[in-house]
Order: sequence, then C-alpha cells, then structure tokens
Amino acid sequence: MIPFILRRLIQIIPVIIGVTLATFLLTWLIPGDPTNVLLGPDASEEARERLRQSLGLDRSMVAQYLIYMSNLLSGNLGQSLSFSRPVADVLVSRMANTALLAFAAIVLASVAGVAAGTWAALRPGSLRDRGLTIVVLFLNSMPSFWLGLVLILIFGLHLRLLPVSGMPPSGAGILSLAAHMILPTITLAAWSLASIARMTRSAVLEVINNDFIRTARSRGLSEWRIVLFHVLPNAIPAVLTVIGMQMGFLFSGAVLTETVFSWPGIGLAMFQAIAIRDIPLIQGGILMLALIFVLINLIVDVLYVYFNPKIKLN
Amino acid sequence: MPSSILSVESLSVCYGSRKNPIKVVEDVSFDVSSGESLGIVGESGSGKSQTMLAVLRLLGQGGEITSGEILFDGKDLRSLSNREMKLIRGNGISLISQDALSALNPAMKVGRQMAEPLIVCDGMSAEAARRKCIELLDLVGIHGAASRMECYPHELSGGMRQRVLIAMAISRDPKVLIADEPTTALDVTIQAQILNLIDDLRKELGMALVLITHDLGVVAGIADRVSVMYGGRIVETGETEQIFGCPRHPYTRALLKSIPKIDQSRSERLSPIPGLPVDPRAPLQGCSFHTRCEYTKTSCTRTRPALLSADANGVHRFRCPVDPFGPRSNIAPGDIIRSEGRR
Amino acid sequence: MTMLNPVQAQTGEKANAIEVRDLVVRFPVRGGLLRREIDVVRAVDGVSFDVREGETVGLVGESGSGKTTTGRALLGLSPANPGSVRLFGRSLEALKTSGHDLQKLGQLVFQDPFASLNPRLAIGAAISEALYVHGMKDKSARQARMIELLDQVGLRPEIAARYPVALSGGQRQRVAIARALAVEPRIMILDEVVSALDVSIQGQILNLLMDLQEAQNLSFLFITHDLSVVRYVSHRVVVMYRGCLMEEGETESVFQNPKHPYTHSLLSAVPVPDPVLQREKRKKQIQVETQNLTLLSTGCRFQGSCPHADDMCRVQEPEMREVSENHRVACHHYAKIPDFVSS
Repeated sequence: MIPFILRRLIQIIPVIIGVTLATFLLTWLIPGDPTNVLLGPDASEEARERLRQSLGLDRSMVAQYLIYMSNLLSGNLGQSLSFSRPVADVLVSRMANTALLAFAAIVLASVAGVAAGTWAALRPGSLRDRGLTIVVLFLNSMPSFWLGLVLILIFGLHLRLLPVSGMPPSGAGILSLAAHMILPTITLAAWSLASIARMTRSAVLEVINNDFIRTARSRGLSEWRIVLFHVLPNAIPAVLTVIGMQMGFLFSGAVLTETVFSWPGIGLAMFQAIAIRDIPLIQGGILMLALIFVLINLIVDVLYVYFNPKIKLN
Repeated sequence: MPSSILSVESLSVCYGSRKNPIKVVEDVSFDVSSGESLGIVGESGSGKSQTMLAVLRLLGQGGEITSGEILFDGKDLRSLSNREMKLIRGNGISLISQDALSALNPAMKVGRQMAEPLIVCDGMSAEAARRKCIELLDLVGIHGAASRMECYPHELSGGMRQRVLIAMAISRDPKVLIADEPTTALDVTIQAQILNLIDDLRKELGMALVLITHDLGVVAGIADRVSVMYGGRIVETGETEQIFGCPRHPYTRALLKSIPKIDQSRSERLSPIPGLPVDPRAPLQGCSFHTRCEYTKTSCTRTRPALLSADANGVHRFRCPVDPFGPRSNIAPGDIIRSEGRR
Repeated sequence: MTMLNPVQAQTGEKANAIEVRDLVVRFPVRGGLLRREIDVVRAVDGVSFDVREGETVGLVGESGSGKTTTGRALLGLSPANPGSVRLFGRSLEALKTSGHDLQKLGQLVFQDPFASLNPRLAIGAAISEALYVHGMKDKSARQARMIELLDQVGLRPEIAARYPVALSGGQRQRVAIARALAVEPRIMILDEVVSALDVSIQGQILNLLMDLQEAQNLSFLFITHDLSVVRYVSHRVVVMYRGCLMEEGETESVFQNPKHPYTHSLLSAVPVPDPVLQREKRKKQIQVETQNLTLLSTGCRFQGSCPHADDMCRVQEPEMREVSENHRVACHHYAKIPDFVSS
C-alpha cells in the first residue's frame, strides 16, 4: 500500500507542473490589459509602465514563470488586485466556507445517491426504478443556478422558511448556520446526487447478478445483510470513482452556487475576480481548485485499492 | 426403501412474461434419500441447473415455478414464506456452484465469508465460528487452515477455492447437498480429488447428494441413480448401471456414443448427435429430441411422450414411446401409446 | 506455399510442418516502487517437439503448464528465444525477414470464438474481411469463396447474414474455423476449441476438423486439457507440466503404456462413463498437489507430487530419453514405473 501511494504521489508532480504552467499562461491568454482595470482607462502611459514594472509584467515570459514558481514555492501567490490583500490570505480565509459547503453537499449526494441507486437496482424495471431514472434525468439536465433560484423563490420568498443569502455572523450559532446551508447544499448536491445514483444503480445491478450473491442467499443470509455486506462493498469502487470526480466538480461548481446564494467562499471570490480581471486571484483560485481535484483523485485511488483487494497484488 | 428427504413432483419453471412464457423446466420429478446420490445429467439449456435453483427458490430475475410440488423433510417448500425459506437454505439444503472464483465474494476474506452464516444464522460466537471453520477447512483437505482464512479468494488456487466452497456448503450440516458442475472449471487431477472429497463427505455426514453435470464420466463414479435431462424434461431415469448399461432413450444412447472415451483411438470415428440442442425460446411440439433423433416417427412430432417403466419396480423409466432399444417382452402393451410396428 | 519445401514433396516422406527446439518463453515479473523487473517466470522452459505435415499433435497439460504460451510462440505471438521455432524448415525470424506472412502459414483458433468474432460484423462480412486481407480483392470472388468456406465447415449460406449473438456455441466455432481457413493456412493451432461446447456438439466439431485435415493436408497442434479428446484426434501426444515436456510419443503408445508418473496420474484421473470402471479407478487415484509456479527448485518439476521421487529427482532434472522409437519420456525412473492398466 505505501509504495502504491508513493508511486501515485510521484505521478502527481508533472500534473502539478502542468497546472502551474496553465495558470501562469492565463495572464497572457486573457485579453485586455490589467493596468487598464487597475488604473482606469484614463491613466497616463507612465503610470501604467510603473505598475507593469512593479508587477513584473515587462519581463520575458520565461523569467516571469520562474519568478511565479519561486513565489509559489514560498507560498506567495501575489497580491489580489481587487481585495488589496495577498491572494493566499484571501483564498485561505474563504477556503473554509467553500469546503464546508462542498463537504455537506458531497455527503448529501453520496448518502442519498447510493441509497436511491441501490433501492432502485433491487427491483430493476419496477415503478420505483423507472421513477428514479426520471428524477435522475431531471436533476442532471437542470442548471444549478436555475435550481438555486427556484429554491430561493419557493422556500425563501413564498414560504419564508429558510434564509436565502450569505452566511450568519460567527456568533449566530450552529442552528443558524445549518439553516443558511440547506438551500445552497441542496443546489450544489443535486447534479452529483443524480450521477451517483445512476452509477450506483448500474454497479449494484452488475454485482447482484454475480454467483457469489446466489451463494450468500443459498447459505441462508438475509436480504438486507447481503445488500449491505456483499453487494455494496463490491459496488462501491465503481461508485467511488464517480464520487471523487463529483467532488472535484463540486469545488468548481461552487462558483455558481456561491454566487446565487452570496456564500462567501472561493467561488464567489473567483466570480468577483473574473468580473474585474483580478488575474493573481484567478490564478491562485484555479491552482487551488486544481490541487484539490488532484488530491481528491489520489484519495479515491487509495480507497479504490482498499475496497478492491485484487488490485493490491499488482 | 428409505423415505426420501427431498422429493420433487411435476415441477415446471417458466421465465419471461406471462404472455410469452419460456418454459425451461417441464414436469420434472425426482427424489433423493439421505446418504444417497442422484446425478442429473444434461447439456446447457437442458434445465438441470434451473431445476435445482427452483428447489432452493433462488430462480433468477423473471423466473417462476408454475406448477409442481417440492417436499423437503415433509415441508412443502413452495408454501413457505420467504422467512421460513431462508431457514431452509444452508442448513436444510445447500449449494456448491460451478465456478468457485465467481461464487466467492471477491472483497471478503475467506474466513469471514465462511463464518458469516454461522454467526448470524446459528448464533455462534466469533471464536466458536472460527474454530469450526478451521475444522471444516481441515476436513476438506486444506493445510494451514488458519492462515488460509486470512486470504482473499483470488489468492487461492482453483482447487483450493472449490474446497472452500465445499466447506462453506457443509458448514451448517445440510441434509441435502446440491453440487452444480462442481468440477467443470478444474484440472483433471484436481477434479478427481474434489469428486472423491464430495463423495466421502456424503458418506461420512449422511447427506443426500444431487450432482448436476454434463459429464457422464463424473456421474458414473459417484451417483447411485441418474436422471438424464433434455429440453427441460427428464428423458430417462434409473440406477446408474441401468442408464450406462442398457439405456433406453435414444438421447441417452446417442450421448454415450457421441463423447470420445479415453480408450477410443483415432481409428474409431465418433458418431456425434446431429443438429443443435433445443432452444427453450422455440419449444418443439411433441418430443423435444425429435429433430435430432434417428428413430423419429410422425407421432413423436405431435404427442408429448409420457414416462414409461423399463423394469418391474419402476426405478428405470424413460420417455420414448418408440422405444427402439427395448426388449419387446419387457413391456406390457398398455405401456405404449403408439401402436405401429417398431423399427 | 510449395516453394518452402520442394524436396520433401518429391521424396514423398512426411516433412516437418513445425519444428520446435529448446523453446523458452520468459515473462518478467515486475514489482516495487519503480516497477522494475524483479523476477522472471519461465512459462515454457526448453520444449522440443515436431508436427509433421498432415498430422495432429495433441498438446496436453493442466492450467499453468505453458501449453497455450507454447502454441502462441509457434506463430511468433509469445516472446520466445530466437531460432527455436521453424515452420517448414525455416525459422520464424527468417520467414519474417523474407516477407512471409506468418498469419497465412498458420492460424490460431481459440476456445471462445465469441471473444474473437466482432459482434457488430455479420458472419459473411467477417469471413469476407479475412479473404480481403488475404489478398482477394474481387468482391464477387470473395462472396463465392465465403459460401464455399461456410459449406466446408458445415454451415448453410443463410448464416452469412447473421451476427455472432444469433449463433450457438458450436456454430460460432465453425465460423471461427471457416475464417481461419480463409487464408488457406498450412498449420492450425487449435487452443481448447471444443472445451466450451456441449458434449453432443464437441463430436461434430472434432469430426469436422479431422475431415478438413484429410482433405487439405493441414497440420494441427491441438491444445487441450481433455485427454479423451486428445486420444481421439491426435496422431502423437506431447504432455507438458509446468513449462516442461514430461512425455512425448505416438498416441497409442503414450496412452496404453504411459511412462511418466505425471501422465499416469492424468490418465487415472480422467472419468470414464462406465460405473464399474469409474468406481474402480477412483480407488487408485494419485494425489497431486499444486504448487507455486514461480518457485523453481532443482531437479524434476514433478517431484513434489510423484510417488516415485527419490534423492536423484530432487537434484537432477531428468532429460528426455527414448523409451521406444516413437516414445520419449523425461523421468529418471521410467523403467520402474509399473504398467498402466487403463481399463
């Protein structure tokens, strides 16, 4: 197991270099002059030049990348143009909020998705199975911002049951926080929930037709025990892959959801940064999301091996 | 004659929708007593495995018992609730499947799989179950049982996996052991060992054994009685010596002639059965073998043949009114549906 | 293809279609952090035998014996040592460099034809494709030849329009054989071609192969674990165990008078469809333990399971020695082995 993890970690290095290269190139690919944004269109050419020098924008591309990398390694992601604070500070302070939301969403999507998928697969072709297929299709084809707006409309404006925007101040208590989280969590989880349910359904169907399930039945085990201890452990690896991918999407999908619900996370910050072309923050944000994606994939791979003893040998 | 522990009477099994049923087992009857072994021989699609799955009420999706009676230890299995049926499986009737690799849970250590029903169903302590599992693995000839319990199925050899499966099947002291092609996936030398093991265990533990196979050689050594199935029906049944010594059904005879024997050299040509096995989706009128049989008469294509007795006490029976191999004197005229002359 | 062996064709003596001399196939075992090669498995270790023109050689062995790897090596599909395989007198390397297509010389047919047939290609198209690759560019000529090939393997022309799913196992195997014949090979490597088929169909395919061989003077290497089948189809037999030759010779000589203890144990394990014989046989069976394949000790590979093994067997690997003109065995003690009574 340890050599396996080490090997995977080594394989990650080129991926990370690629990501830094891509984020770095963003500066060159995004149209428009950042000095324009910072100083306004009426600024003098002199002032622009001074700003370019202070930001290092006048050096060669290679030099800029090397500077960028060395800064990166020392934890310096640059200065956010819009927040006027170091990018690292902005990201770290907002990371917790995004992680909270994403974590809640993935737990909801996984638990509900696996349960629904299994429940449907136990009676393939039945009413509940076909019902689930329709719900999955519905959730998968609905844009999250639209779902968010509909939820706000129903639960916030008409029924006035739940808060629709922002985070409560830190002293407001756990209940208030939970209430604020319900709608954004559902919005963020919907798409993943549907995908996980669909994957679980097909994985369970595949496992349940195996001989060893018949063996378990022929030995007098009860149906719920068979599902819990024989079917699910064998179906989980396939589902895990989807959950891992969904988690990556959840962090990036948070951009829209956080914007709709004014949730003060990385997503909202990124949205604002893109609007005013705050390139250091965009770079930092993308880098962070990419790292999270890679890290989650690593964890999924390790879990995959854990659940699938056959891979351990190789 | 000892009373039978398992007896099946006119069992029929259908798959598919009610409008368009596919009959895979039709009017199958057999019985087996404690300590006795019954071989069920047939090719793929003959309904031999489905018959036994029906007995355990473990038919696949869409499978249904449409008629017949299954008596186990005096209980009618068809009338039991799912809960009661669960209590029969494993300690009343247990199953050994063909392919041990797919019949074992790949994600669970061997010891845990073996012990699970002992703990959950029989209420043993984990420690007692573990001791019993080691005992069982010893019994089926696995050395170093304690360390094998920590293995995953794919870490064992094919023969060892089959032994584990056998140990699991006998772990709850079943009265009837159903072995469905238990040695087909194994090498010949291992195959012989596993067959000996199953047979020894049957004698030692006094179980009834139902051995399902396509291999006539396998049943020849083990079974007391043999039933030959073709196209979902039993076409011939009798004591093993009767089936191999003087088969009466043309299919049984053709099957025996169609397989290469170990003492058959290149100079003697095989006479394979022409045509293809019957497809249950396209059932035939009358006798299911009539398209491949060289003794077919017009009546064979119309009437479904009944079981006829070949001997006085009715142990050897066959389903062929043409009866091309019968000594005429043995059959009373009333037993034959047909009235035309014999070939 | 006659330019390959003009001499033998004139003298009338049967030439060697396949010559295998000291064939070794190694597979690396990788492990550790950097997936370096940490060990080597010798799947085939010093195997020599011949297949003459128009002859069937049966290659017998259990799983892990290296029989499939050997078969693949004959057509350059396993990483074999150079110069170890000669087809019609010329080494594989020489054939390749002189632009010969090995595929046209020898064809491989597998156990599971379903896996080797493209499910989206109709049968006719699959055979036609093979003809096209073989160089038959004219469409109507291909069509005619395709029908001819189907006829040769006993299939009706209507089958050309069907897809592999719509065929039975036996029909698929016939199609696979027809497709192999399309390139007019001189050699066919038949790897467990009847193992997956129903017993009543096996005979059909075996007889078909024997007829084809007679008509087209084909050379067969018939790889199987089924000794009854081998005896029926082969002129000569090669017995492999864990990558090595154990015994080789004319079929009748090997089956009636096996000299290697391993061949003995194989033959005694084969079930025969005769109740009396089979019960007798089961009492005399030799126990064979399977061991780790990567474990290479000194001496004879069969020593761990051999009832006759002594110190010499533990130290020195036995060489092939001649028992009689057409019979060779790799055993130190072959002279001491009691005569085998097969039935």
